[in-house]
Amino acid sequence: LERIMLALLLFFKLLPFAFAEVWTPTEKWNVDWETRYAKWVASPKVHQTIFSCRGRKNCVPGPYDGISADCADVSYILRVIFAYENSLPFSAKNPVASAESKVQRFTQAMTRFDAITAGPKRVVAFANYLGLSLGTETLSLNDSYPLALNRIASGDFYMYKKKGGDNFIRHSYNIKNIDAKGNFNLIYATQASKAAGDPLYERVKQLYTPPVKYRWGFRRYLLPETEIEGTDKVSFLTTRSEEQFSLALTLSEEAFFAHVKKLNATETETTDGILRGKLKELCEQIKERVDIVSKGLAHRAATQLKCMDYTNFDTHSTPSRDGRLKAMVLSLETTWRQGQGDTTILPATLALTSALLDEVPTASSQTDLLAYCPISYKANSVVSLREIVRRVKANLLSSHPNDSLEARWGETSTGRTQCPAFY
Amino acid sequence: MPRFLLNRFVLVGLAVSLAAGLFYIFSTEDVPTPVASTVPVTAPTTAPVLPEGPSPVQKVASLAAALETLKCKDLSPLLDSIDGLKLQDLRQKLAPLGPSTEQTHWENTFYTVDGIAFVWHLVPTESAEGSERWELKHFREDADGPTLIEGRPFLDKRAAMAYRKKIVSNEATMEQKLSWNYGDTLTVTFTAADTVRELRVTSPLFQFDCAKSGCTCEDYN
Repeated sequence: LERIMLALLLFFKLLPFAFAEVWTPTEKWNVDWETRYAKWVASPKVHQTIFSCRGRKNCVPGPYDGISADCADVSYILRVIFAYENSLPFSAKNPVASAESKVQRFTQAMTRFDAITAGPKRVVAFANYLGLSLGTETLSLNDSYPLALNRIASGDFYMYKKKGGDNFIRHSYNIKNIDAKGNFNLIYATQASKAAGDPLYERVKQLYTPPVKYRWGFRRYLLPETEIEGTDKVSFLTTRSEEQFSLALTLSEEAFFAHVKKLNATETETTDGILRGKLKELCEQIKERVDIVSKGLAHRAATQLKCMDYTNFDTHSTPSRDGRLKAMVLSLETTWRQGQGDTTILPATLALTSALLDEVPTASSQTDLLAYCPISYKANSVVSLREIVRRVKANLLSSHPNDSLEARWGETSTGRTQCPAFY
Repeated sequence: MPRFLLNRFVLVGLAVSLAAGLFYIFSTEDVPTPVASTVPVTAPTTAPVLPEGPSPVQKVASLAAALETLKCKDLSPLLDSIDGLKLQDLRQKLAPLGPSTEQTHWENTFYTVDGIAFVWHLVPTESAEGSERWELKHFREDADGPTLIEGRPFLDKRAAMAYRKKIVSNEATMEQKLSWNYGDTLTVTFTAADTVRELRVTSPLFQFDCAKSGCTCEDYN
């Protein structure tokens, strides 16, 4: 009897090892599951602290806490989590496989996570493993396809690659949802947020870099052929299109994204709505810069004002961000100019935009603007958005992380560093 | 019967567990069989079985590739033979054929030591501010997928390549094989002297194979 009991014990002890996979799928991807995936990404289940609660008060870590993700990783990992929760397969091409490699694709069937308890913990390990070799290049080249611009949905992503100096800059934004006006609410991460273990970013953003190459732009996750069945192939074919690349060649940056927005809108957005959206985003981006600059200055102080090496310079400098700020200001100005005399602009919006962009604004409108978007980059001091915009347009902001706080915000031209700039 | 019970992993696991249990019960020595040796090791079945040749869906998925307009007649005159062709020559020959030739997305350098396969994976990554950096990652190819051994960041690709060359050249017996993505797939095997020995291009429209004996090309359409 003792032997039988021990045998049974052994039997049950070994049972979990029978589940060698990260999870065992019982469903197959199809159009219905794609629709459900889109709804899931748009739902509150996908949120900023899904992978990390760092710096958030009253945040309760969820089952996927501990996932470390940069921009493209998020696109992969959201698919992983949804697939796991709904017993669907996951598959991505292994970019380090030779023709002879046994593992040509990373899938939920991988057995290397057996030692980790089955469930979310194993999924977290799998997700972090994927991040070791997958990225923007693999996502755009191997694991996604370009979308028809009128078929963009939650869960799709926008990827760009642009020349920055001698190098290329790449990024990937995940579309959380699209509002009735065709604005994209994006959820995403960066290399910096990954390194810091920060939660994801989520905000409505204007996109600025049109896709100039076929591999980038608006894209959807590509299912391996074996997972697409029957009539779903037709759906796959109808959602795929390369129109965005030819359009991007013929339209200006602003016109391209305006076209995309219009295609995805169910309601026409008034000039008032566009102006309000741009004002809001500008304010948010400047406030975000306050945080980034402050972190850089904290590092500068902690290292006794030593010149930053490449890595720290790279982490705390802001040339791309500052370039985007200027693009936002110019875009706002364009909308403002084109909207002159537009009766749909509400008085409050008119007052705020006038206060920001008119050559001679009224004193009362300045008070309103200060109340709308107070910028405080140093203690006991609040600066108006108009003043920051003036400095942005005059290229007074410094992106060098070794510069003083005042120099970084263009308050003064003194306090500039002699430390090297790496780009 | 619940569907998961039909899962082959479960069945294999159950069978092995039961066998281990029975073995233990009827074994004459009163020494427990080490659990570790009885753990069913399930062979990974990670690679989906793909049909031979590109399917329509694969073709569509790949249409955006730069090679989409090329056919055998475009490549064959250029590459009658690769005998003595240097890697740089190859890049120059392919350059006019497609916009993606200059886009080297990542490079894998494969080698084998004592039967164990390794790969140096050179890949561009984004930095905090969005500037480009390169990372050289060293993976060991295990039966259950690649295992990262080390990763080294570099400021530019040239520095990363120089480092790789230094490391790789230390492996005297190693056969170098470089793959990079040209459109969909372009695999080039070359000797230590950078002379191209084998070239394979798989595009949605054709399969092109080149070796010292000459090149073959098959149009799918």
